[in-house]
Amino acid sequence: MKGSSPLRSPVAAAGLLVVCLAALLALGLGVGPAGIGLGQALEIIGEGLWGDLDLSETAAKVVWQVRLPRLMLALLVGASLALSGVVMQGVFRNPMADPFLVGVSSGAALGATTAVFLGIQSLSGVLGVPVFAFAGALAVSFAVYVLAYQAGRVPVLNLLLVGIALGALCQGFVALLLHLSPSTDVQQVFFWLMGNLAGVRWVQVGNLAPSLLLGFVFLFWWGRDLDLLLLGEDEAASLGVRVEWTKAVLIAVAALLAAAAVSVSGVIGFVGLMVPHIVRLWVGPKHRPLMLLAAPAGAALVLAADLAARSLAGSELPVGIVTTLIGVPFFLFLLRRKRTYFFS
Amino acid sequence: MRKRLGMVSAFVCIVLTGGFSPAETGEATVSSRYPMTVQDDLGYEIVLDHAPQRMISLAPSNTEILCALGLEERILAVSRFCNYPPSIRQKPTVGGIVDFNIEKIVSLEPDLIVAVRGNPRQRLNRLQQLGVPVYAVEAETLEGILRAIKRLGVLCAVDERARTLAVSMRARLAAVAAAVQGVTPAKRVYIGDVKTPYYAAGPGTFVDELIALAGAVNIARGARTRWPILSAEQILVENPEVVFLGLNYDESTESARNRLKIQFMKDPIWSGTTAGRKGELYILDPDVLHRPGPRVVDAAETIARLLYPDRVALTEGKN
Repeated sequence: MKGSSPLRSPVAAAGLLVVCLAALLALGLGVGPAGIGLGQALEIIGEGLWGDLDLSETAAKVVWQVRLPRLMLALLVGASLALSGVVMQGVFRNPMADPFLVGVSSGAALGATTAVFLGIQSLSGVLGVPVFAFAGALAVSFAVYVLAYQAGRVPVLNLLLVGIALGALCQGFVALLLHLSPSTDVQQVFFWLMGNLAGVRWVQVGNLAPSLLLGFVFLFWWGRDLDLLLLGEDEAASLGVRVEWTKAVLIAVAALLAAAAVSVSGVIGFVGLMVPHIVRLWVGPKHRPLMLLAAPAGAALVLAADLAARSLAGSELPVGIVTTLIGVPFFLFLLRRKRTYFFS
Repeated sequence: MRKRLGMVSAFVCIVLTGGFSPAETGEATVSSRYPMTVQDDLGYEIVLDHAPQRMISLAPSNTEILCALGLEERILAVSRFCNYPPSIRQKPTVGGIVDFNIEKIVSLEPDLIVAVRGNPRQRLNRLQQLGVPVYAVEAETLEGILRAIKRLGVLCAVDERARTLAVSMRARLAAVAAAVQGVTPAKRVYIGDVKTPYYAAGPGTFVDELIALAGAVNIARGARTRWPILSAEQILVENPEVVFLGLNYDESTESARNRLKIQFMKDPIWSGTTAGRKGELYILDPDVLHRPGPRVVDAAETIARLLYPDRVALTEGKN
């Protein structure tokens, strides 16, 4: 049965994902409190692209300034996190690894909290929190890497432990800043920590798209080295892989991808951890097909979660809550059904 | 869960005020009133041997009520957020709303702690166990604020003063309502944050009542929670005509205010609303707007005056 079913082929999986994404995009475009259906939304998009659309009209605003950028950002964030997760799990050869392991989320959280605490934020939300979050994510990831360095090597175990330790340190500082700041800030930081796509602007989509594209091409290029790393670092070295260099580059690019995503969306949990596992259970451990499928799968998961987040509660719900609540049971279900698993 | 607790305590309040009337109507003389057994707004019972003389207030709203009742001298210490009336800042502080220092409070030997629902119950219980009576106030509606004022008045044996204050507040609120009566069409108003998350004052808050009183419609009235987060789409659809910002922004200078207004008018979401196109953004003092104390009346007058300047004369408000 293993690997024999035609449904398990990467092509079938890709086809299924495309259908899923199309359905989710249609839902996302056609559902919302403004009562603008899919047909009207598509018409407005068409007018915006080829005709002359009056952007001051409410319907046009709803489609072009609210629904579309939000859908695009959900796709980009989901794909970035999933791709980053694939690489992290490959480099660490550890099923517990995710993009946040090397300090991306804790650093971003500290950066965002600092921005809120210092009151550095603009109405548009483009400067301030995202910039601080991005800087924090990169600074802490870099610190984790440097502190894990030992006698010319960066052992994976060191990285894991230092990542956990610095993560805890950042959380301590976040708690301290929250304690020192007035209560309205606390709510805002809480909302950010749970991840949210509510305030999306096209600018953010424009910022994230190139980083995802470049990151994807780059990581795909290194896919074979990742496969070799899975054999073990000594084996990979004997096959001609420059192990430490490869690890450093892959971790840096994966951290950058995750940091870019987190800086605009806040911390959306479990996507980077689960999506690679789900896709791996489906198509196996080879990294190139894994990356090709994990990116759209992550995009679909975040898109679905955001749809639920904005329509279920009657009040905007942080999307990270939904990814966790629907993602984890689904993941456990898959895990229980499967007897043998690549990582175990 | 919280909502249910709120409903339960609101019910308790109603039951309580019913059973509380003898003292409130002044049937008992002040001296024979003590020892007095009272149940607070959260249902906890305390016994007072005498009118409190050494009080600690654990919330700005309580401090404002007590001071408006002329009890400032009987306040021993306050929370670090208590800043009104300005003279109150000379009092020692015992920490914040959540992180007040039990040891410091006990060492000051107060005879009453005036708390609010937002103070952690566990810490209040600890104070009770240590022999300090705790009276918790919960005022989430305009009626609730008036009731809290009257009940604190009874507790501290200043009933007459409390009643006078409540009557004058009620009169000023009625004057606002009368001034804007019959305005058509009522303006659509949003009170909340102007950047995401769009936290708005929803149904069941006294801010929502203030909007209605000032002759306007709250665009968040249909929400299911008291402080809902609106979506950008909802804001565009509901199209507010006036936006009030009741949060701590850097609005200290005229230029900062103007910068915020320009940003507001250029914002892709807000520029799609009437308020954004006309630049109808007003910054309210969050302390006046959000504290369930005597100054909500000022907030009502300010909001009404900004909404309908022709109808509500400038002389009506204090500021």
